[in-house]
Amino acid sequence: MSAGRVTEGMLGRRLLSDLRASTQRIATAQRQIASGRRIDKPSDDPLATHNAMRLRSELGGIEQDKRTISDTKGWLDTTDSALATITDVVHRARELALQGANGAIGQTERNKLADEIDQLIETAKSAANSSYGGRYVLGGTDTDDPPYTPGAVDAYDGDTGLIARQIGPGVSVQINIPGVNILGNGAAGESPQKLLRTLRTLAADLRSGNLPGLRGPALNNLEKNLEDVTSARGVVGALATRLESAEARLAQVEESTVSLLSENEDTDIAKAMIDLTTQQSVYQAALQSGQSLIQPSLLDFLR
Amino acid sequence: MNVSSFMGLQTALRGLLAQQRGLDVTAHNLANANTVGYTRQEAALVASDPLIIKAGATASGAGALLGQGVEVEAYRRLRDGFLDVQYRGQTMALGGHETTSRALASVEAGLNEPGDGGINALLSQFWKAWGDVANYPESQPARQALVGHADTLATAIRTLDARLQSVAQEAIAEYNTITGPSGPIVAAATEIQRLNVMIESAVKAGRAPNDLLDRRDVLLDELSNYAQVSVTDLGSGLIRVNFGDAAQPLVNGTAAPNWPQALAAPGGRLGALIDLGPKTNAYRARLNDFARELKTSVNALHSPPAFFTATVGAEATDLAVAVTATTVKPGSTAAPGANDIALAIAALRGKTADQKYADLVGTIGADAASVNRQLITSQALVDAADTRRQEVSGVAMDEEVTNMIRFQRGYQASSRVMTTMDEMLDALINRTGRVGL
Repeated sequence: MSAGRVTEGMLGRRLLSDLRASTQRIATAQRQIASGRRIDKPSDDPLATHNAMRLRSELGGIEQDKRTISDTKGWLDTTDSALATITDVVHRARELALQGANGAIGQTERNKLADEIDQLIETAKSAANSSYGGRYVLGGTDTDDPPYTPGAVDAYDGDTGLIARQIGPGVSVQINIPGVNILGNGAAGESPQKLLRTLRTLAADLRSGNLPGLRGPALNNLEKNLEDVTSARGVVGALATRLESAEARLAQVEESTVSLLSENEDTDIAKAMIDLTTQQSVYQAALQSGQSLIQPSLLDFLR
Repeated sequence: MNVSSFMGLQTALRGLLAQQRGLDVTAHNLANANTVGYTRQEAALVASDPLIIKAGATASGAGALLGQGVEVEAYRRLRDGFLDVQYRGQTMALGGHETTSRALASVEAGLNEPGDGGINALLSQFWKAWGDVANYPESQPARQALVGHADTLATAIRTLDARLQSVAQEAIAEYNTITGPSGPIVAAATEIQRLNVMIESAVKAGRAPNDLLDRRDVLLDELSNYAQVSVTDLGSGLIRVNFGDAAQPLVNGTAAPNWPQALAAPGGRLGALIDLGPKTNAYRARLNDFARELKTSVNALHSPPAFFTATVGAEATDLAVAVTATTVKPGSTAAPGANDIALAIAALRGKTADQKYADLVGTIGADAASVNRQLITSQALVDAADTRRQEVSGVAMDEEVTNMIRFQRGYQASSRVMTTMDEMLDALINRTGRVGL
């Protein structure tokens, strides 16, 4: 018997709480549209927040890996061009050795050839001193100092430390070739003998007219040194290819991560707009009905 | 026995008075249509005790009872005590959820997640700075940037810890204000006790203290927001009020209020405030866990020297960067190009530390979402309980105005009866026995 009694207070309170709920929904839709984001705070969607944080962190990692790859590419280019110069040096030295081994030319000619070998040594050393971004790429981990000093001293001033870079999640590659593996230390007794020692010996043989030395060991050693450089260039080339594919893969992963992130936390504008419009008309209808509902009472009809 | 000639006048007078009282009550109802906690009243009208006419008064020789008009039996208060219990139960739940929701919103605001200013973003920048150092181990600026990012990260962790701590402290302060000597509990209890005294004396004098009862019910509603309130009727209009899980009743009849008392799990707003301490402590423990993981995982690779320092067990409170740009150690050898340590630390991205923090944020978010849903539900339940209460006790204008017309007409009719009686007596007194005059 009490049920069904409706009082003015009830109507007013009800209208107010409905209007408040409607305003709240309008504000939410408006905020989502204006900020472009569906999630404003973790409680809006705890799971999506958790995912968003993971995806954002992954994106940060991808960006870092991309930067590393682009820096590493420059490093490898520098290494490759240094190795190319050294390859040229070996080829030229081989020609000079062949010329010097020819019994038909005189000692004066050989001395000239020896002088050119000296120049080639300087060229090789200065190529080995190539730097990228202030870092000497062939000095091992001793990247602050040039690995070789110009002039008569051929000692290697770097170390044999290896430098690795991360080019993808959990993927790291070794990117440096210590110069000593190719040019050597210039000291006697290296086995196999490295390029600088070979060239110094070659120059000495030319100056002393040691034809058997020029015909035999010099050419053999140069052959081996050429193999060192070529295989090093092969490693560098393979690495560069690997970087290219890693970069392409990262770009793909980045694209899919970005779209996942967007799906996860961005506002579906179309849906939000429809929500907003719906809520606005609900709100207006509520206001209108409230106006016509509250105004008249029995009092309006009594004289 | 004869019936007095003037009895009809008396009957009409009773009618006039009763209709007038009815109109008075209607006026009172309309005046209080918007008073919080007001319960509509009605004047309960009953027929007066009849005049007993002894045997022989009627043709059959039997006696008779002659009606003598109307009387106001009571001014009734239309209220259902069961609905009050429901309403107070829901109000208590609402009070608790409101408090928890507000506190968690403040925690969430401090998290700033998901976003570019949160700890997650700072962590990402920290790992990125390590990646830069791995790429340029010789570079002083790269190491300088790393130390800067590490410092920002450590500061953000400490700030969040302080925020959680202050949420707990604010909860304690609010609890103390509410339960304190100038707080609402003691004020309401004192007022209830005073009303008990007034109500008891009114009831004993046979009066219905309707409006006093309304005021007491409003106070009980108010109290139920703070904690579980249970009310026991002690008779003579007195009540005993038990508050939360306090050992003694808060108000017991006319005795002075028994406050303050210790509460352990009172429910309502106070219960939520008590629970906030352990809740934020659990969050802080998780934050500590994360800071410890960050510290130990980086230090395990870097030290000596230690990269981060922090007190064991309170890592989030005093996490700090212990290295400078010159003492950062990118590689295990002193060679300027050595980067193995930096590489290993940069690879910690997305590992346990990141996960621990993301899990913490997820937990806080889930807790807040759950309490927000409960808040919406309990708000709806309070509204529903209030609506049911209003159905019984609220003032409906149309109803009151209808009553007003009813009583007005009744009054008019009674006064017409009186006029008629008057004319009748006029005939008897002034015109009887004047034959031939």
